[in-house]
Amino acid sequence: MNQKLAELIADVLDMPVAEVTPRMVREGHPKWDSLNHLRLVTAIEEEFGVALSMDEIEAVETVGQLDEMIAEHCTPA
Amino acid sequence: MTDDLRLCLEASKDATALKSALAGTDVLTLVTRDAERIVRRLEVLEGAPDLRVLYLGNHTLDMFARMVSAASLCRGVHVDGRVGPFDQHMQMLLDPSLGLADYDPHAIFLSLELERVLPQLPAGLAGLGAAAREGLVEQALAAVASWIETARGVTGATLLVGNFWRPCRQHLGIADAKLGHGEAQLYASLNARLFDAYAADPQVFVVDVDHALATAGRRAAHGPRMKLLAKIAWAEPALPQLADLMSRYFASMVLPPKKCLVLDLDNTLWGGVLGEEGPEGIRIAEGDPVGEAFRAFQSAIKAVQRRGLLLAICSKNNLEDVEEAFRLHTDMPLGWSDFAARQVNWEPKHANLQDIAAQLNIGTDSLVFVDDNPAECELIRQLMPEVRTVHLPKDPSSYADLLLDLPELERVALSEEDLRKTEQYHEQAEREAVRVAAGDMRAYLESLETRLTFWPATRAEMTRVHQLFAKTNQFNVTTKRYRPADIERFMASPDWQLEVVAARDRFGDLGIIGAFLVERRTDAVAVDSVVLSCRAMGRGVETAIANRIKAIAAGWQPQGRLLAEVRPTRKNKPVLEYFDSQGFALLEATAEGTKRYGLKIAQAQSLDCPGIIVEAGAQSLESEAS
Repeated sequence: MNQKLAELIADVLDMPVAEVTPRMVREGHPKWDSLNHLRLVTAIEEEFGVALSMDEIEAVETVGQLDEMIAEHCTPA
Repeated sequence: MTDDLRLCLEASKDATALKSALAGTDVLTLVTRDAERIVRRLEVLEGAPDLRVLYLGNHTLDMFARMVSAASLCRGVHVDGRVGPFDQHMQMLLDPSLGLADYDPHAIFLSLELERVLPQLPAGLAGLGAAAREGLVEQALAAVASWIETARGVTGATLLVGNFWRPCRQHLGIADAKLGHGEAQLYASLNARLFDAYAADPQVFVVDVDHALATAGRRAAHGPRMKLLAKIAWAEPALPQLADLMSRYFASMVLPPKKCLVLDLDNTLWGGVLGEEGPEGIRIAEGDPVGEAFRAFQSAIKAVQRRGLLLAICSKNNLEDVEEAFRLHTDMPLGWSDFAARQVNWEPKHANLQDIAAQLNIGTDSLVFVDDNPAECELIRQLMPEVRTVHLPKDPSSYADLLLDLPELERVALSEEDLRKTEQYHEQAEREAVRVAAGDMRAYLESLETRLTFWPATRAEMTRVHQLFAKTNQFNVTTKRYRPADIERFMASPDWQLEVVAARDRFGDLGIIGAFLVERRTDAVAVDSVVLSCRAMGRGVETAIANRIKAIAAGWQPQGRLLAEVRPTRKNKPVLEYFDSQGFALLEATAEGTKRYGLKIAQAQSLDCPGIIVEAGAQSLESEAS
């Protein structure tokens, strides 16, 4: 997965970067609550120069999905 | 800044160290991620917060609250913030299980988004008449008022209420302006009435959120996506500006206030060097852009003076040249008499700052020093770190803004005394001149013809009383910093007597210069606080206050004892022997240095205070005693 993304998640969720894996799940995660999710989205949009839709933001369930979403947005169609 | 910040966060071992590491950080440059790091670090460090603040509202305030804590820390105030449940600002006051009493906040911030208070608003005001529009204003004001009145009943916390902010877009577009009672006017009228309603209220402060959002830029401040997803009304780009505003309140509530603005002259108050250009050559005229920049700066200084700060000059110049410059340029916003102290000589500036502080009877830590010369600024920073040094940049165009932006010059409210402060210091200087001429102390005191009036404090004196408790450092026996809500409680209670004392003499009116607070207990009367402005020290008012306290005690408990205590601080040396000199006996001295005193009321004597005439106050002694 994108290393920059892993570092961003570690920073925003205040956790070691080694623990950030594509299979990390949002639901039930002690630090990935709804406000931190939005802070994460803002940080990602700033860092990668992308804009996620409301549906996309709400649909994110895992780090892996977020990684794919960013890749999609960054690849010119 | 992020790497530096990380290092400084890790190096700070406690909250106090973190405060000093962050001191001087420009809060407007804080980004949310930095604020988050600062607050996280603060949460794990040792150190009691200066203030506990509860945030309530009908929109999400979490990120805002953390930004306020980060900004406040940069200004030297440790704020512990807690955000109440969304849209439950009333429940928070009324339902004890939500923990208001346990948290016991010093301040509560309330922010309401108007569209949630008035759901009919987004449909536009086109169909409504002026009366219906007025009804909406009333409805919104009532929502705020009922919260405030409920809060007053359950907490003594300072209530900070955000005003209503105008959204980016108007529902009727440019036609709104032709409606006569449109949306723009609705917000203007609502906010004007909100300010009016609480201007004189000592517990409530209406915070100009609308202005901060406009300054930040409304387009950046409101994004629809975050509002829809999480009811976040204030987007991240606006948070530093809002936090800047909030931290000004918290810093004014907690930090000792600055009392005097010390100014250089050449290239500070005017353009050019007086010694070279001569009094005619300095740039201060209208029509000259550089001259106008200095005029704007002088006007800003004048405004700061009206906030209750004193002005002083500290300049390396020939005194005659400077006097000539002020005589020649009488149309300058500042005149010679605006300065309560003037040090114009060739001595080093740190010595002059010491002299200014001594002349005005204030500490050097209450000085703000403004100079364009980097070497002078560096000298003061190194030798007098307690002084707030402001180095002016080369271009004078921004001087006025720079001054008005300084958080150290903020006051949460102004009293009558603030408005007259400079005049009072000039009168003080005349008194000193007489003192030198009189030689004999007793003759001097008698020549002053000081007239004192005591009366029980009422709401009319609230701002001044609060200020005396908050600002008096030297003549303050217990240094208890009471909040407006505490003061109201004392005024209302039959078991407490809170009195103010005003003075005037042959040189002028000194206004309210002191206050004391005594408590009626079952078998004794206890002196809780005595505060006296440094302007009025050393002329017998101290003894007149003690006499007044003895008289009240005799009325309340003729057979009981009068108790008092002195708690030493770094600054209250003038009160350490106060009760000894008033005939009290020392009962005990604790390990922390607190001294407790007692005096049998039946044996208490009124002591002689030469030259002082006590005039009848609003309430006479006899009627109270009976």
